[in-house]
Amino acid sequence: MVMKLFFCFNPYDFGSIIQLQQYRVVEMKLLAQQRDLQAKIPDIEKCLDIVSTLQAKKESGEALVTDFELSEGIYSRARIEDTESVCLWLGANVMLQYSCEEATALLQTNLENAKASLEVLVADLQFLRDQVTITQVTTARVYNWDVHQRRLRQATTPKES
Amino acid sequence: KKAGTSGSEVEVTWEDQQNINKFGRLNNRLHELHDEIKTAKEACENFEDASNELILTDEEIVRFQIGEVFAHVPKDEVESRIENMKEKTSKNLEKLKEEKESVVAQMAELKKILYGKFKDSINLEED
Repeated sequence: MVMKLFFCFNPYDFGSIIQLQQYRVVEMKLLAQQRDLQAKIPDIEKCLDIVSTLQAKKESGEALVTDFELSEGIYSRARIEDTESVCLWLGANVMLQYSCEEATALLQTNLENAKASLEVLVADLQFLRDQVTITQVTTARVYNWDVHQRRLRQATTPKES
Repeated sequence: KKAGTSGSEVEVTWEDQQNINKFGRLNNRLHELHDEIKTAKEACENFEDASNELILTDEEIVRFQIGEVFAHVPKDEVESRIENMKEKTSKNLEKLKEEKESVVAQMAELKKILYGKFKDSINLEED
């Protein structure tokens, strides 16, 4: 959706062009937030997957052998025995230990919150885009009106002279 | 994508404005759907490749990626996991395709209405 912004020395249009630029700034911010959330949600789902796998293994009683990344390209083998608890990284250099059930509950809550915020964000973006469209259409209409008025004035002045 | 041209005397009502807004929103959604469908198709292909590899391999334990780690999982479990993921993704793909068809239909409807009222004064085509 690109509006060809024509140069106009029309005082009425100036305000709406400034308005459009402000809208664009807010739109950039919202888009960045949306990208962050869209990256966070698959992460939380992966964590939920692991916790549920650990729980399943606990019930079956066998140990889980995994390969995990120590450093780029370097992996190490780990044997995870009976899992009592898991540690969750909460951000800000904080990691807390939870039981498997608590961890699942917490991750589930985080997932739902993230999805809800994403919905709100998408609604905000839609509203913003509507406002941008309205502003663009109004700018065009004011410009056309002005052109029309100039034509009328030019049509009347030759008659006077 | 939308540009007003000069000389139009036609009144733009609030309903027209709402139609234009809706068209813009649908167009954005169409682009998003396009990308989402592409991603889902790629995921389906990856699952296909993965299950083919699985049939070819003769190892009993497969390293299956869960999150950031590779868990040692028996081949059968990996097979059923991949089946699940494949099904979820193809259902999602179906849903996306249906939504895309509905969006395209709505946009065609709106185009008819808006072109009908504004004719040349409005441009609803892709750049």
